[in-house]
Amino acid sequence: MQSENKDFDDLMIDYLSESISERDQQRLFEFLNSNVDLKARFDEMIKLHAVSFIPLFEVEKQANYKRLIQQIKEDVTMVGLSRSWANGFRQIAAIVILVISVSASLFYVYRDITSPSDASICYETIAPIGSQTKIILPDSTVVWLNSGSSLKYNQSFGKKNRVVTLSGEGYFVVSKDKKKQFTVHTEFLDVNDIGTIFNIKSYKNDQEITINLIEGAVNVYLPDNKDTGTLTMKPNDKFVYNKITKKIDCFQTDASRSAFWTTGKLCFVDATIEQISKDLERKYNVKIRISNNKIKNELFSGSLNLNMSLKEILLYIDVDKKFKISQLGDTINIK
Amino acid sequence: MSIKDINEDLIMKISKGEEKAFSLLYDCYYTYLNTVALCYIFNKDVANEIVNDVFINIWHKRHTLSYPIHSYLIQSVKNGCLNHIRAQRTNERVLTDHKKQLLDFQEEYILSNPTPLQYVEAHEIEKEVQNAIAHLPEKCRSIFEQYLFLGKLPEQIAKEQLITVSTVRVQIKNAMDKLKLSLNHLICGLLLIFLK
Repeated sequence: MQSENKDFDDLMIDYLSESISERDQQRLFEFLNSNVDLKARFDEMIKLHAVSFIPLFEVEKQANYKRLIQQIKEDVTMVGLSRSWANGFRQIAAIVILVISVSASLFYVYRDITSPSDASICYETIAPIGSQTKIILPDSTVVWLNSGSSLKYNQSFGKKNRVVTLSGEGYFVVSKDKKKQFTVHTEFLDVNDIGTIFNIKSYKNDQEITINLIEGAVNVYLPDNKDTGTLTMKPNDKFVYNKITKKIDCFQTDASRSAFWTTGKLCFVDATIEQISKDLERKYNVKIRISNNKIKNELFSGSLNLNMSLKEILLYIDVDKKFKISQLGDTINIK
Repeated sequence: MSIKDINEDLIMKISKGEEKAFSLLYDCYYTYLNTVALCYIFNKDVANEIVNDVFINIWHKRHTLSYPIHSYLIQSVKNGCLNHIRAQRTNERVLTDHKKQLLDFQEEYILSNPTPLQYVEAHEIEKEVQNAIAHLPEKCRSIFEQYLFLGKLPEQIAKEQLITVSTVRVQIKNAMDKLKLSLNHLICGLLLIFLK
């Protein structure tokens, strides 16, 4: 058995990377309880680990300060708005503060400490499953990342061009700059624009990629699909690309609904329970299995407030009380 | 700018809403507080988030600040770390015994180690740590940085580099041992002497 071979330092390596297994965790605690010297080694390794990050913090200090100040200013305007505006805005403000405090997880790809060259430094922001993150890019473009998504850009962002790579769902409010085109790369397609508001949903596990244009104009380009070339979207256009059939669909809709999630709600129009459960899975970090074919085809419309617990939401969807919900570990079965 | 310049006058200026004074406080404490947080919470992003919240709070509550501020800052970081652990306790839908035990342990560790790292001038120690890491053998450094800064697990690094997991672990251990040697005077002389 592999874990038998791990010594105290090995266990600490796992512990510090937050990946220690149950068995190893027991062994680590036993070691610590049985030997005072190991307690000192424990402290020492924790400190070495922490101190190693000092140069990184120093490098990030200035950029982080800018973000911090921006965050402070936004908190202030949001608080101001919430007093004078109706309930809806109060919720947004609350979510903004909550989101900012809960989830941002930015890490810095750190290749060479002694001589970081421009091209080698790239920033990635991840919104872990179950949380959302708001990012302000150096050109003051604002991006909301939904649960389980990531956004990458490198240090040359904003110098010659503005290029980001998105995996998952992002709501973009692109700051206007006619000289520098803003490009979002996703797994299957690219979106170009110079100053607009749009929402892209491109999760790896979803069959479809959807783009909703709320304001302005964007060009959508499918590198793999040369026949279509570039497609220009108008406000309130909804673009759907099916990854499997490679079919493209573009129609008018109320695009602002697509950005509802940034307010902490989920909004559905004629959605199947399967589509809804995909969103719920990402939000609550669970697996939902639907084994009843009848409910699979039913369509739902409405909005869900994500302050509710998953159980409350499922009961809420189940208007006719015909679901049988059972839970086994992280999997929820609906019959 | 160093910690000696943090005086009553500066705190007064922050209270009055002078952003310049706030940024000086930030400059002095940012790296140090992050390092303190990393002694409690091992995830850099989380530590960073906690420290940012402390600064945001300082600004929002600037009217109530008072000098000296040093222990208040440390206490705030500590509370942030405790809150993070307690939030995990309530946010997890199903809290396994294993996870619960881990959280208990971490909480206990924070509470029983209330005296964090002694203040160090970040720019002084920065070069030393930088050099120490830069002087690791190439392969060792690369693996250590992937583990540390990219948050990769030993298993993942092994897979990507087509080497065994135990080789990766040995390299990480070597890196830590070498760092300990080169930073020994810092670790023993400065960092491990706790403040009262």
